[in-house]
Amino acid sequence: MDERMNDLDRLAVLDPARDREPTPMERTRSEAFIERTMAGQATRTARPQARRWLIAGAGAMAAGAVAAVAIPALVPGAAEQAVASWTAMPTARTGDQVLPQARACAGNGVGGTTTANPADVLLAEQRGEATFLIMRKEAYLVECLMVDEDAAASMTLIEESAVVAPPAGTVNLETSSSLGEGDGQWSNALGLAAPDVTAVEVRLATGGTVHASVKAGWWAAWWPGAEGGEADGFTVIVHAGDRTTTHRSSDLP
Amino acid sequence: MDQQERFRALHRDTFADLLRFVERRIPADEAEDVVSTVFLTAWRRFADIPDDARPWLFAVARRTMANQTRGWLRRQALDVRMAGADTHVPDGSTGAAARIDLERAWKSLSAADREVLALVAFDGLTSDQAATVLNCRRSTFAMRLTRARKRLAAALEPTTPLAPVKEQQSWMSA
Repeated sequence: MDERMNDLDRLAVLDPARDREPTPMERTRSEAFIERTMAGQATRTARPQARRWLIAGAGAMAAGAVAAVAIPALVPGAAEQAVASWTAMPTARTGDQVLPQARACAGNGVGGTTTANPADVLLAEQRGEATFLIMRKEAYLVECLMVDEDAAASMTLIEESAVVAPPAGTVNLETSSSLGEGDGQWSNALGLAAPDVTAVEVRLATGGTVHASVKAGWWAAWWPGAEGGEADGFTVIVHAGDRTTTHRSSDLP
Repeated sequence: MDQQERFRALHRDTFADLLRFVERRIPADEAEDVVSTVFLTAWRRFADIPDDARPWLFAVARRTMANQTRGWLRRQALDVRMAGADTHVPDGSTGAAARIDLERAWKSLSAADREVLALVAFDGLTSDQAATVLNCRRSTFAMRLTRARKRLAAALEPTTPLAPVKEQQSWMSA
């Protein structure tokens, strides 16, 4: 064609997909996906859902959340392990205690690839076999759920420079979502917390209360089930000193 | 042919090109999900798809990638990757030297220049089609392509002073 002059032709050797042809399996998966699409049954992906951190449902992400990139997701079995050993009350962890997990999170490519120091970990908690953490990766903050150092779900949150503490006694909802299905399905929700917020609980629409972790200006919780990806699947109870407020998730900024 | 048959034909004709388009820009392990999202969008907006469907699908893919990867987009831009240097050219040959020069020149360009060049050189689009992908006028694309080619030529000839052309940043919001 007329635009393809010599200099552009020369560039073709740099094309990373120059000899790329879809494999028969990729083609078959995609054909199956479009058949499901036409039948009105498609989800967002042709691949098994349990391998990706998907944002499910219309209320999946609060407006303030910047990004949802999931590069390694929980491998099959790990999510079930995390869910099976889950506890409603987390145990707080320090950056030193979760350094192996933080290093795995730092190296997973979500929001960049870095090496982790204990000081990069802003919030870390343990629920059963799963470690959850919010950590710094250069300019960005990311969250990771780890069952061991090799299996992680991870999501980019916001640039650290964009963090603005909410007004006294309040929290926001940066993101909530659910991932997986069946015995491996889990949800998480997190956001920024004012410095005077002492505790946060998540009350699920389906019953039950999850105690969130609160540290370094963030609150975070994860739990088995789908509520994180549903509109108003949970309410958030915020304690600031002797003041307690309750918010539907959709009402949180 | 009913709508479902036409959609299957669209998929058959464009799947490989779309997968390549996406894999040029994001890691391969994310590409398949993006392609699925593009076809889901295409089915929902089937009536909007023009006869020349490929640029329309590429434009949807580009927006999908931007939405799904905003976290690192802000830092890296939606860049076009380069083939690894493991490709088939004997060391010391003229081809190997030329390849090294070309890689160096490519790396010296802005992400915006690389995107413009790749739409033509890698994705095989005409200026009209590339303008559709970037949601800009053909004349705007032609101008960006001309400038990018000049900068590529300058980078391949380091003794030539770089033309003082103001960078185009508008493609990020296109």
